[in-house]
Amino acid sequence: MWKQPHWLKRGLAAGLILLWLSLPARFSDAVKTAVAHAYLPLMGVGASVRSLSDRAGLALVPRRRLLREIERLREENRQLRLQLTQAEAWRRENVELRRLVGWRQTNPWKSQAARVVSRDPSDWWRTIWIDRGAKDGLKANLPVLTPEGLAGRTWWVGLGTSQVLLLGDPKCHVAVEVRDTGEQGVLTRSASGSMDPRLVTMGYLPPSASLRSGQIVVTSGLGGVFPAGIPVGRIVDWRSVSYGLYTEARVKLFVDSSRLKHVLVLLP
Amino acid sequence: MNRTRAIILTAAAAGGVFLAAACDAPARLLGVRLQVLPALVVYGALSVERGGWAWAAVVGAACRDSLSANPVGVSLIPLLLIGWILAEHREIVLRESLFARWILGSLAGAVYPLLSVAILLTLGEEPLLGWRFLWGMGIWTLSGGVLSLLAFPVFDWLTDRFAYQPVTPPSFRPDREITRGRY
Repeated sequence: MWKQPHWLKRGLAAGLILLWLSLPARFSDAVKTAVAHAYLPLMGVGASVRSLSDRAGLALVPRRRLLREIERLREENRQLRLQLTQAEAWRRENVELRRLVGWRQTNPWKSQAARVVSRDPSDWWRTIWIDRGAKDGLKANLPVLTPEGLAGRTWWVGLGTSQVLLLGDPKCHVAVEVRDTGEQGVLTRSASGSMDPRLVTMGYLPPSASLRSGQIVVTSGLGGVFPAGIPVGRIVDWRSVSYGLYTEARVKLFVDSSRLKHVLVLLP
Repeated sequence: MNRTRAIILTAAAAGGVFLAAACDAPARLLGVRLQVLPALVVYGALSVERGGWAWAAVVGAACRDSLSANPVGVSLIPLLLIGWILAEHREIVLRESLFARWILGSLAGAVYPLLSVAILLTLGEEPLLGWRFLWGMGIWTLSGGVLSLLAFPVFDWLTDRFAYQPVTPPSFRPDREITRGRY
């Protein structure tokens, strides 16, 4: 049987596949880079089509509604300017106090706006592609946010595009804390018993954690990837796991990743 | 050799993967993203000659794994396995039967994600498995059958439009020409 040429070909093909799967990450990254770059024009076309359809949709919005929206945004802008002035005063005070105490000064973060151009075609991961890459100053493990809160972190960075791991993906672990009580835990992966993609698991909470539904969860700043204080979500429920060694809570994320269109990447 | 069908199928595999990643509407409607590759491989294995379907499987799998967080190569094994089994038995499959197309598409749609996840678990990865994945299995099984039903007429039509037709020998044969004499 093995002397027949078609069996030899099949054996060779199987061997090549196994060899391919065991290649070092450097080679598979090179393949990924090449194919992802081949898709760049299509990603651009896709983003343009979406932008055009959004604009076409705006053309159909009644003028009265647009005027109402402008008025609401003006009011919000006024409020935000006021808060910004207050925050600027606090920042200056913080810098002065740090100087007096002798603490190290923290550098302010810069942000880079990016557009979501594609999503993960496999439903067992939670990643998106954005239209900013290494040429825009991005690198791996930078926080990705929206105005609602934390969305994830950059993972694979190409020249003009990057892949972002969203919260809930098994590879995206975030050190978080409950804002009211300071109880610390780790946001790990999507809650397996739910169809809602916004529900994720917060593990490694102490067994004596005093939790309440609706408490806000923010980043704790531990681990060094995410700055402290970024809103993440609200606690829904909790239970004791590992024979009472830990408490595990379910957190509903503020960011609905299925509707993400634009994100901000924080640059150090 | 006429390779138009294989080229069309390969282009459709690359384009289909991108559309599945870029179009949000089906995912919002059904809760999961549609998978086009199993249906294309079913069509290719039953219709494309001399293993041309394997190019579609290789290109489609490479594109999918590059856009996904999968390690590169994970999607290739299930697609090649499905295609190889079908191509081996293509003589006994009733290609023209709608029921056969539906069943094979559904089976491929179910087997492909299961095998992909099994390979991921073997490689030590931790994909998201739960109720959402189970729901996805139902959708992928059904959509695999539907897409397979659609793939046959669409790709047959495209091949008819773009491929050159085989030259049929003329009925004229010089050895059968009646040579007439003078009378």
